[in-house]
Amino acid sequence: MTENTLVRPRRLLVIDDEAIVGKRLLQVFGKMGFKVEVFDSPAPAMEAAARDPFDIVVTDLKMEGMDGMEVLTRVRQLNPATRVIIITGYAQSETAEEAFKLGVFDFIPKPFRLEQLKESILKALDELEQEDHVQ
Amino acid sequence: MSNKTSVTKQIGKPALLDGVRRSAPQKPKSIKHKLTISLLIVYLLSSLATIFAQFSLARVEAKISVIELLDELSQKVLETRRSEKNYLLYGNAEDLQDAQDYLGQVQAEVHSLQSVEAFPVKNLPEYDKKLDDYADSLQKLNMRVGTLIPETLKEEVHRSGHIFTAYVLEQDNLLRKEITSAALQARKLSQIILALALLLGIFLTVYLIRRIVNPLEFICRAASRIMDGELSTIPMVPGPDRSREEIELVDSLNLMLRFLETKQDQLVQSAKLATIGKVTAGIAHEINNPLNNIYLTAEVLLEDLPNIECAERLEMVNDILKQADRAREVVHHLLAFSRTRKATTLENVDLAVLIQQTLAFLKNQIRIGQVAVHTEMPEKPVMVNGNANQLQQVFVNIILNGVQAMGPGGVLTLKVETADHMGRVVIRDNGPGIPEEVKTRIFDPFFTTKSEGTGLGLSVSNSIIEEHNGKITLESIEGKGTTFYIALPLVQEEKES
Repeated sequence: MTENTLVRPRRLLVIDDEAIVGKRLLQVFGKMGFKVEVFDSPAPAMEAAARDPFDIVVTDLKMEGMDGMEVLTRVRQLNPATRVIIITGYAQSETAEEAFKLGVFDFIPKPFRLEQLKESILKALDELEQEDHVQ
Repeated sequence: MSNKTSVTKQIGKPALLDGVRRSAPQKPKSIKHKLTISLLIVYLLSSLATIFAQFSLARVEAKISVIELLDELSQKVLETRRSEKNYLLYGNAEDLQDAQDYLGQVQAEVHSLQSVEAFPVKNLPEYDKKLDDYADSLQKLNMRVGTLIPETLKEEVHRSGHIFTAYVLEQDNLLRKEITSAALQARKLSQIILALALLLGIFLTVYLIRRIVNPLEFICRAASRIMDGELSTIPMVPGPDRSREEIELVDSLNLMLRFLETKQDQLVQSAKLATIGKVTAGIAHEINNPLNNIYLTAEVLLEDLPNIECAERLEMVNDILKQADRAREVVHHLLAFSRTRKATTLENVDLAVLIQQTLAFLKNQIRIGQVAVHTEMPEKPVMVNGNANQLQQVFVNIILNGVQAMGPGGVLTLKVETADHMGRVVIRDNGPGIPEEVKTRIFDPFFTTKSEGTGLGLSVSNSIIEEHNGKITLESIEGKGTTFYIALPLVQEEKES
């Protein structure tokens, strides 16, 4: 899949207090044609989401001020179609279960390979495309 | 503390104790031995006193029976005299015969009694002579039965009879006196033995107290000094008073103390492992994040290397190195915390630095707990002498308890200060506080209110701080929070400079 396949640029939000995660995902997914916005704290990210909902959100779980679960809930309230992928350095099966109950698209423990995240995001993209077709 | 180390070292060589025993002039007697000897002496003395009393009683009894015999003899002598007088008055030959018969009996009995022990007649020939004189005069009378008795013969009979009677009565009297004095003597002697026994009893009591109780009291005092932290082992009972059992008691108590010390070290270690278990979430997070950053950066580089600008490549490689450093730092902290240094490894520690290190170690655990930390650090170092590793274990425990108690949104305040000439760390949380009934038991081993807790954390913390001659106290208001105060003696100024 290349950037040509994108009907319109999809909006991707990355929230992680590890700045490097944002930098790298911006590099990778920006080149792939996503409109990437990066935040290292959740509060301004939520403001941005409120202004204009994102298609896909990649968020860290443990952050100061607001955790990934809350990000998930809020984003899904703003736009139920948004696919949320949680990445975390301390993955517990209970947390993953809870996240899936709350409608998370994917739950990826750190450290992950880039390919893993790419696959997940492209899968989310496929779903989004199909939904658009149906409409 | 340094004193303690040297004592421990001494005890570490069991040969030393043997040396003490060997260098003593003679092998110490056992308590059993001492008691046996003392009781044997008492037993022997009381047996002696009993035998002596029996013997004296038998002697007195023998004398009493002799008195009875003498009484009989005296009666017979008087009987002889009465018959003799009757004959002289009435001239009845039967009376004379009676007198002579009685006298004969007296003579025979005196001789047969001679074999009886303790018979008082010492001078039998004199007795015999006086008796013979009297018997002779009676015989003379007998020769003249039926004739007129001359006055001279009458007088002779009368005189010899009188002498004999007087002699017999005198002997009788002497004997009574002798018996009385013998009884008196026996009484005196038994009084002396009684006095001796009393003295000996007092002596033995003092001896037993000195030889048995004193060393035991010495051991008791040493044990209470150990509890006060003045000693770490029980010193050998001093002087020649010690018994074998007491030496063995000291040896086995010291062995037990060493065993307990090892157990205590093991307990500290288990508590530490439990603490490490509690921080795994933070550690995992702290290692997985830099690892993830390294993966991401390396993969992006690999994927698109020709198209990335040179400056950006450089930045990315530097990112990788920085993240590797971060991971190394985490492992370093973890190892520093889990390392078991000997409890006796003491160094000067700045409490402020130690608290900062502790916070660095717990950074992610605190982040995961979503707790804010405020620190108030002094301008000058607060130096205490102690085992940094163990002290850190205490701080980690109390901080983690606070983080866990507060839950997300809590505020933890850490303060290092000097108060009442002690270095003090104040750890305050604004959690739910500790109920009164829990507060009193909070330092008890195995006491826990958490389902996954071991109940060792605070009890081991308390013993570590006590070992450092410090004190942990806490204030807690339900609904408002808990404050722990960890006070430790400051390093003396001279040592600092």
